[in-house]
Amino acid sequence: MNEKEIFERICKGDEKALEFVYQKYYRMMTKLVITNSGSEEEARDVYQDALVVFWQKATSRNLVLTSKMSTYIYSICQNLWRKELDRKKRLSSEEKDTPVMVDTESAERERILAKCIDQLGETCKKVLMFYYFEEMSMQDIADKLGFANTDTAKTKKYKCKKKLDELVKSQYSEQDFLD
Amino acid sequence: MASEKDFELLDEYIGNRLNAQDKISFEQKLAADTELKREFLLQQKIIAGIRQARVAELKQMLNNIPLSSIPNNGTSMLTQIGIWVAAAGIVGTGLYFYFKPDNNPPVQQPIFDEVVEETSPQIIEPGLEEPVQQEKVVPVEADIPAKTKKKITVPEASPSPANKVEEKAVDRPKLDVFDPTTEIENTAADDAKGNETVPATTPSIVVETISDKQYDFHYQFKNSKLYLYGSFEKNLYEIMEFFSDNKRTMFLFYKDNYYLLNEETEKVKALTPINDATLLKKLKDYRSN
Repeated sequence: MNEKEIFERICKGDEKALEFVYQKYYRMMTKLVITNSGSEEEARDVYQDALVVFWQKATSRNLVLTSKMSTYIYSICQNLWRKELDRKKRLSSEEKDTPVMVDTESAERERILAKCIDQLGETCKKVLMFYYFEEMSMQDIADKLGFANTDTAKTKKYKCKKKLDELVKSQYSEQDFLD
Repeated sequence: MASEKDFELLDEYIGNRLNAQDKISFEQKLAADTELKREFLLQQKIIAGIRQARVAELKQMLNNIPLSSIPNNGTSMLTQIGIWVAAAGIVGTGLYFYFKPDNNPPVQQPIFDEVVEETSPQIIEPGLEEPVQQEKVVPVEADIPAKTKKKITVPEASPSPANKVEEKAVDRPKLDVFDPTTEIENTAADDAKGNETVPATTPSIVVETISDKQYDFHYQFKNSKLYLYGSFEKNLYEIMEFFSDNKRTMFLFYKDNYYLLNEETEKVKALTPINDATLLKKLKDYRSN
């Protein structure tokens, strides 16, 4: 399997191809962080975040590779790790007596949403994730989830989204999400 | 009041599915419609939640890949290259020694006992008559015709006082050196007689050259063989044998020089060129005939 084939499979949302890439470049990418004051855990987090960015751009067909796949992923890792180092630097330069502001509202909102999404069926979750995160076309969603056609996919997505909206609005007040 | 169509556009807007023109148009509408904006804020958070859930799912999937299955392609790559280089070196060395031509005969190593500097044949004193000798020339690599045994006499130089002192100081073995000129003279007569003497068409001694770092220009008689140490394979050399009363005297001709080969000892001896003008002339005359 050459790089072009791997990339094409990723663009079609093949998660096995993503796992293959993850394994293939794991040492190379994590080494970047580890050799720049990062821990093994931080390195893994950065690499996973970078791969998720790469995956999202590829599956949404918003990526035209003009370099090697590893070069592109490496550059994302570099940017992410630089941002993280900057964040750490800012934190260390702040006064120690400054109270730490914890965004509890945001965290609570995320928890509510995660609970609502979990209440959806597996197919619904997949349809909504493929539509809103991977930004797949209805044709790709239909192919991936085995729907008869794009109309079926579109209807399924509409129903699933409506169900999620109802779940969120019924269990929690709309005001919880508006601040 | 937002219509059903507006909510559809809102969904496409949040889902990044509007083109640039529709996007601008919708943003203008969004700014003007409060109800639509409220719905936008809600939907934005719901869809952000879906995206976050997907990111978490993907990262969980990647975390489930065991690290033991991840190939080592960092420093171990250098190690692998090192191993390959070492393996190639071992194989190469093995092949080198396997295919290297073995110039040293197995009998050579034990016989490197002692190196004895050969005395030059210039000690032969002119005026002293040697007994009549028989000789033959043994072609080794040069195209020298084999000769039959012939009687020759080599006159020795008359002893000078200095030579006498030297003779006393160094107890040299007597050298039976023969005069090739006599043989030359007798060759025609012998031929006329139909070669009554026994022809020697093959060398009476086996000669072997050895490239050795320790002995770069030496010789040795051992086990009825003559070993020449040095790079003799680069040039032609001749072994000249002279026989007299069943005694043999041998000379080596190599690179315009003549060397006496003393076979009385089996020790390795250095080759020293003959400087005696009279003997040299006779040997040259013989070779040129």
